[in-house]
Amino acid sequence: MRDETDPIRVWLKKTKSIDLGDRQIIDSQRTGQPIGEIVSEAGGGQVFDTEPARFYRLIQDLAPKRASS
Amino acid sequence: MTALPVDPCDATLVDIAKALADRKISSLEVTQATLARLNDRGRALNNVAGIDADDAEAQAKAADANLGDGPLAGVPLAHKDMFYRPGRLSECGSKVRAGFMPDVLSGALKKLDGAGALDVARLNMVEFALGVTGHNDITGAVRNPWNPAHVTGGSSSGSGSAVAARCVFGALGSDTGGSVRLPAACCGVVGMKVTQGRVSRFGAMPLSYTLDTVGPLTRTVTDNALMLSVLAGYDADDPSSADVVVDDYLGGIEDGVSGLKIGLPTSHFMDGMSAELAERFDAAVQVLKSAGAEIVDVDLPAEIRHANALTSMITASEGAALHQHWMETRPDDYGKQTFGRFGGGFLIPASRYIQALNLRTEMLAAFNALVFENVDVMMTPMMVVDVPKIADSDLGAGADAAALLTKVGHCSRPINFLGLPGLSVPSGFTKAGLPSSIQFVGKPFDEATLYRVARAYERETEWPTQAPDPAGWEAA
Repeated sequence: MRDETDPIRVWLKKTKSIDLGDRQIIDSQRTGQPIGEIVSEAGGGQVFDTEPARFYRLIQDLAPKRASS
Repeated sequence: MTALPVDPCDATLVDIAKALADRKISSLEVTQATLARLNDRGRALNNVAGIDADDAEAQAKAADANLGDGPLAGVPLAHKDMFYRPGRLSECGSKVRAGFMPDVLSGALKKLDGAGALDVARLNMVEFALGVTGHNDITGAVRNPWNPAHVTGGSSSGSGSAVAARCVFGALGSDTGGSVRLPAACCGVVGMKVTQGRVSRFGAMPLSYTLDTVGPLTRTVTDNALMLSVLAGYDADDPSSADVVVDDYLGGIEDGVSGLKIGLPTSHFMDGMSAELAERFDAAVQVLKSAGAEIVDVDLPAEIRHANALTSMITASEGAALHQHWMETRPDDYGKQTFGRFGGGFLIPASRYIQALNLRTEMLAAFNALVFENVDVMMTPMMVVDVPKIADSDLGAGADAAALLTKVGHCSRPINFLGLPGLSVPSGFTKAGLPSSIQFVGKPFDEATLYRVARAYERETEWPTQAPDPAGWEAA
């Protein structure tokens, strides 16, 4: 249980209409590597691109040619 | 076709469909046998969410009166309780959706209806499909037919249990981080996680719009290919479904593995695997090598080690957005772990969530260059840990729970992140008598090759001929 001074609890109380601080939640920053670190180590994920559906185009482009429409 | 067994429920999906088409047995007989199994075995294992016997028999009588030529004409099926059908409950393993009656027909059920299948029961599932072990604080845990003290895997827990216990010939599940493949693995059946966009998600309960997929669980590889033949394809109701031609999954399924290259990953997928499971995996590799496949090592992008965490991040973020209102107004109606995991989504900054989404494209491109420019299929274990006991894995929302979920989803979640097809196939049993399993991962939209390789393996091993023994279920 988090105490009243816990920064996450304080922030949640300010920003959520339910007090999540009273409940047990799986917070990846507390149970493993911080989220920012995971994203950075995985490549950053910052994309400044004009195509909104790059993933969907790529996955269809990679289909075997016999299966292309 | 082999002669039908004494109880038609012991037949495969392919054989029962053929027997029905040839009028060797009526749909009513098969449906009544299925209802009996669901009421008996299904209730004992807690895999049933609801049965409407009168409606099921009415469907069967209508099929007998006018049997169409669909590939599943007259075959009774049952599905995870999250595929919407107008006028029928769809409670999603939850208290929050108790009594919910949808007014749309899911795209997957529409395809099965069109093939002549009957829909005779709703199967239990993990609350809102969020969980890989099968625990559910609301409905209670579904039990594993091979040993009811052990988990079924989740989240399609009822589907895995019911198919393995031979209550039904096949069942729909959904797979966001392993929820078709892990119950298939834990229960010793075949489960297909399709390429993103291969099967319509319209009218299926959402968990993560980015990662959700719909796929079949069956006892055999060929049964699975038959079901996916019906399910696959573009659906105008689901603009995220792909307009990519559907291969003939059954046509080449007996072609064997001669001439195919199968890649074994040199990183990530074997990390932390028990010695016994590693031995079982090596034995499966040898089977395919003996059958004529060329086995080679494949390197993976180093970033793959983060795909498990990134998948959880996306699921928690999107799930939290879907559930925020109910979590704020009805927090006590959620199970502890479900609330805990969705609650974690509120702590993920939107910018990080979007960056995680962007990484899918980069990682898929890198993975494809390293793997699929060199091999036809990648082969991995499906799980690196033994099927846990229910009592040992009922960990709520604490740090231990997060660690267990990470371990169980170690081999499944990266495939969801990449959007690729993954097929879970039984590879025998551990010394404790619980199923072990392997995973075949394919190129996008190349489910046909996965079935071909899996069938070659299955033909040499014949694991699906073994059935769990209901004798010990009551005691558990």
